[in-house]
Amino acid sequence: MKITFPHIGDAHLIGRIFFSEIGIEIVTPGANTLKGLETGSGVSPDEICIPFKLMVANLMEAYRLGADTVIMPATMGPCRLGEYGELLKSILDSRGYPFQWILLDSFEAIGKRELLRRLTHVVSDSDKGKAQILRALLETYQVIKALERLDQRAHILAGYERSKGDCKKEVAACRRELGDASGIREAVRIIRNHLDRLEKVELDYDKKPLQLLLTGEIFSMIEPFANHHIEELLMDMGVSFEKRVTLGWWIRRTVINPFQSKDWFGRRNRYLPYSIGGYAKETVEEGVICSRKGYDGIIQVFPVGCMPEIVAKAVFARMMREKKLSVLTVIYDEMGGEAGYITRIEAFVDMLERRKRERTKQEKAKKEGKKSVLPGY
Amino acid sequence: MYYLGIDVGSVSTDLVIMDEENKILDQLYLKTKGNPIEAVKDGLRQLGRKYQNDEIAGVGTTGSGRTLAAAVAGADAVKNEITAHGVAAATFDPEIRTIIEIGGQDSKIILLRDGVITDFAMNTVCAAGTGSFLDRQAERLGMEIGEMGGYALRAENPVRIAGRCAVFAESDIIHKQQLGCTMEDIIGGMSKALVRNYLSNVAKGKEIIPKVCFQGGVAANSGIRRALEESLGCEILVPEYHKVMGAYGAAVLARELIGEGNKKTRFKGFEAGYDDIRTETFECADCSNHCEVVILRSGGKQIGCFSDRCGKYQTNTADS
Repeated sequence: MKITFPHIGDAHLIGRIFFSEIGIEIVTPGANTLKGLETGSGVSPDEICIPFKLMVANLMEAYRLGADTVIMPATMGPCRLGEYGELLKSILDSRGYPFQWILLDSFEAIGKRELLRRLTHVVSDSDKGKAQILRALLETYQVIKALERLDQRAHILAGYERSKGDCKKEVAACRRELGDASGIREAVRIIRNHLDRLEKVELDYDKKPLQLLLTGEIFSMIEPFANHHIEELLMDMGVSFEKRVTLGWWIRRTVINPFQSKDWFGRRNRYLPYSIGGYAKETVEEGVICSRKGYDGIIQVFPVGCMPEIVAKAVFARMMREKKLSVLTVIYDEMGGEAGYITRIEAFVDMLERRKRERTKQEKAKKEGKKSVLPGY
Repeated sequence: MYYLGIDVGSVSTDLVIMDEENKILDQLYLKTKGNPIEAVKDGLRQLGRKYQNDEIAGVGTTGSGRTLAAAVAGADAVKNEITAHGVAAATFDPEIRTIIEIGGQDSKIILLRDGVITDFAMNTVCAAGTGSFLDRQAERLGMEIGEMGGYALRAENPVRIAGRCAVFAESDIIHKQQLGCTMEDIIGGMSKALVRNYLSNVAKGKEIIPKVCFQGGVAANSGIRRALEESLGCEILVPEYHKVMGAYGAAVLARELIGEGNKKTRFKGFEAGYDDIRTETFECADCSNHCEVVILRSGGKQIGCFSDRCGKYQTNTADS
């Protein structure tokens, strides 16, 4: 049995480490490219979103590389993604890619026993005992968390770094080394090492960078190809930002704490109190957090045709009026050229920076009893 | 001392020379014709006949070809067109609160409050209602683009044209022609359709408060201007230099930047207009990103490099 799964952010990086720890080989398709997107679009329904098209292309390539079994975390239902497993299966079957499918749904959807059966199926090739596998699973989660921490710190520190690109380089170097890591222990060591080095990056604390919140549709958030590497772009622009929707975030929500009992009270919002599918409710909650914690603005990212995020966008429009939020919605499409996106994001960052500068200037002027008269600010 | 602003757009490349008091001394409006490097060089050559290198204290570039122009001319401020247009209008008249900008391929709305940009929107993938569409229709109807405004103003009963999509609009125009409608009524209807499309697409949900400023190449079209005035019910201001407002904004931004830090300009001199600039494009295969890297060379020296995500082909560290 040769296992594969579609790309989503670091899933393959981490999946490889986990499966090699328990003695299973996985097949990693090449990273997402424009060419892959073209292939994927060729066999997918036209109106379906980018994540689907990319996944189809990944799996087709994995098949050619010798994979025969697909693991698909389908999480039944939050959006079309819940049906993706089935749709992918029927498309790939008809195109002559007969995979064996293991669809991992949440236990509310398929029952505890069925989920357990499917999970055992995944690791049926492993020669390790149950206890060992469980331990490897827990340790892998630690790797995910550590990598998340590295990203998080880099996103914040990027606004303060003295020499442009230091943080970005550290994160890229870490990912490169992780690709060759032999096991979990080494992976943890590599990430710690880079985290240490990241904390030593020379910083300029006099800088007052913008604090932004990056949020939106989950696949676009986690897979850099689907958001045109927006994180790198923002880091290059010298913005401090936070991205809370990550692989670890998804695991915490769906696997570890599916009812979110702990933060129930903190997350209630009067704008969209019900789940309408996808993660629209969660995106709106991010907006609420943003206005509460005093971020300078939000960038919402989603692929064309993502219904739940369109609803969230409409809610944001209301929040912009009522809470004086600044929101930029970037909708990624396979047809769009890159220049337009960059212009929009740049203009948004510029706008917030100028406003921030003007505000501090006004406060200063108020103290000195003068009014700012510079045009253009 | 003067400041040079360059705006490289899809249709036109504009250059502006501005003095310390933000006054425009000279403006050039050149057609890009798909070759932005040549257009910038041509502009530099033309301005070089009138001005000296040491008179230029700073250079700003904007527009979709801003990084290219910055590599060719050597720029201090490289800014996106939204910021540039906003700053230009705020400098031109601090009371402007709404900017409608319709260019060759994109249309935007920018909201200013107290001279600060507070919100903006740009058209999405569709180019209906922008300059290229007008250009194409003018060509099809066999008239100069400059004449279209006059036709629209003479319209007595503007016909209704579907303006949502450029392709459908064109077939609708052909249909109205076959029905025997006059050219004036068709063009008048088309102007109205474009404005309707702009207001319901780009300006959707935005609060349009006077003073409204209309700039960009399409602002030259008096028919569109009148249609806008009728729909919005307020007077629309078209600045004298509406065509080159982007370049003007870039020049203002360069002045601000140079003035703030007392910096020396990176301007390469008007001779750059005579440089032999070659571009080289290749797909880098060193990692899975497969970036299409573009390298600009002038006389064997690399003067610019774009689209490499990792930054390994960058030699000069010109920051924006």
